[in-house]
Amino acid sequence: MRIALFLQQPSPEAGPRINPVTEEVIGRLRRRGARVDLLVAEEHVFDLADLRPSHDLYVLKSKSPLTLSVAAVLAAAGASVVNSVAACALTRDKIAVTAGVSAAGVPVPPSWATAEPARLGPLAATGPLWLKPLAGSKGHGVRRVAEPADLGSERVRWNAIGQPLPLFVQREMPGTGTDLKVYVVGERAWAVAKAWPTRTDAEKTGMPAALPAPVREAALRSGEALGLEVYGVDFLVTGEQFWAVDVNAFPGSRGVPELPRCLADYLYTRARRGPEQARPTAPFEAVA
Amino acid sequence: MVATRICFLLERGDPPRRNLVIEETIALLEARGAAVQTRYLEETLLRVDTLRPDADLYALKSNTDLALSVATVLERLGARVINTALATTRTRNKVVAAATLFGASIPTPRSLAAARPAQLRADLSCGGALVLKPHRGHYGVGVSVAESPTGLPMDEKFCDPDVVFAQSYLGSARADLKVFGIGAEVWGVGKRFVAGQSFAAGGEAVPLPPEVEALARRTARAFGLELYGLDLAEGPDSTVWVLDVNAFPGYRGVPGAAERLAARLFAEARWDGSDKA
Repeated sequence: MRIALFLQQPSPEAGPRINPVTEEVIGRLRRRGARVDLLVAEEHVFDLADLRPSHDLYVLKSKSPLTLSVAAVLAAAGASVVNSVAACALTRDKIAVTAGVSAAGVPVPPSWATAEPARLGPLAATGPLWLKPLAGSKGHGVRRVAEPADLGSERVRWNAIGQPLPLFVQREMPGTGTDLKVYVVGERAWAVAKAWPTRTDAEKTGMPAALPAPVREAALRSGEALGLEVYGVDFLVTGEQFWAVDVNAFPGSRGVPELPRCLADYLYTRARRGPEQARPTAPFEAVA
Repeated sequence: MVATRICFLLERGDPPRRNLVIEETIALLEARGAAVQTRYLEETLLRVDTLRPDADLYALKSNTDLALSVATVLERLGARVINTALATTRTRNKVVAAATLFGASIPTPRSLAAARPAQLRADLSCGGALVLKPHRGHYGVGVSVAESPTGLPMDEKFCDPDVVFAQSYLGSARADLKVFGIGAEVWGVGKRFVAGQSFAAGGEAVPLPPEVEALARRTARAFGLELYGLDLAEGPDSTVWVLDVNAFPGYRGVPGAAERLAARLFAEARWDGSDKA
């Protein structure tokens, strides 16, 4: 059995990024006899006429544009990929995530998109907002807008080919300063309570927490709406109320002792089953 | 009877540009009784969490991130989008587009993908010249030609920080033919490609040999496109190459383009889901 793991590489000098959970998963797969190859897409030149699957399973720990492009080509040629490229692409897009999980009946904060910061002024006048990059992750570039004056420095931003970049904002909801992160592998789900933003290593790991049934159901519905198999959903929880504020494909998943074993089992089984077992990205079905 | 609702998702462009074919198409649709909306999504404040389809058909004539996100959501919520968000996304990523062409055995130049221009040094040392493009570029923005390793742009100067797409440079090929398609109909337009000006350049209708028409239809099928434009090149051995695939082009130079486009969009908006003739 051959499994390829596409990994992130922050810079060519830094080497691939492997967190403790991924390291344990790799070890467990190798002990079961699987050959596990660690790939960094950014280290290679791909000849697109010759790109064919050579592994039983490709695991997308990295979701960089080059990794997703290459994985899309491999999947079109019949490769088995976890999470699917379509699910990863949807999950990178906060508009698709928010509209998709909301349509599936999962509570989300009121959310808006525009490319013109000036349009956010009236919204900011009625309460604090969180401004988030459309394809951001791990809280990078997230900023609180407490009042219209906080938008003063925001200008229309353009991408390299001259198109205006979208801004995505969400209304601030009452919270306790602690996120409930739900990690899901297939149908198994665990919760970890984490302070946000995380600063220390202990905060990054978080504390195992009880997973209320409605939150578990909401996490699984979110994954189903986006076609994800291995994912995390971040919730703000206040009393009985909760809101999904972020979804991540193949997150770091620290703080759950049994997760690496379950994840290794899941990937091993997926590699044996092949591409026909991939979870389809179902259309969003709006809940009335 | 309720009017057929057609919503155009449009891109203003920088500098802003008018598309006379689209303006005429909208007028023709309104003359048929359709209720036509035009939306420049970047210039609106869009409520995302309650987004639901509110038109019988969305015409996706924008390549921006926001338009593609919204079209993807609308389509997954059951809206009809032409071209589909999936097909449009396939054309927009040049890495995926090239692989789609190879997968369908459609002649296209040798194509490479890398993270940085410097990674192409070894290839340029032993191979021919390369055309470097941003992987999500359009209108020729950011395109450069490298004939040797020293001709490569500096990594930090290349306009796509994530992916470099490179194709073999077909120096001796004639690359002045565009093919436009609406459904099964195809037209040829002869025009000289000028980087950064392709949307402004006019052109003359030219007859297409049957094999080029067939190649265009085969390409559209491989991508799932209904409305499309292709940039073609003809090599010295008469091989016709597909250089670029565009979703929902401007159709400049196509005789009666607005009438044909309006008829296609009107029929698509009123289609009840039964088998198409």
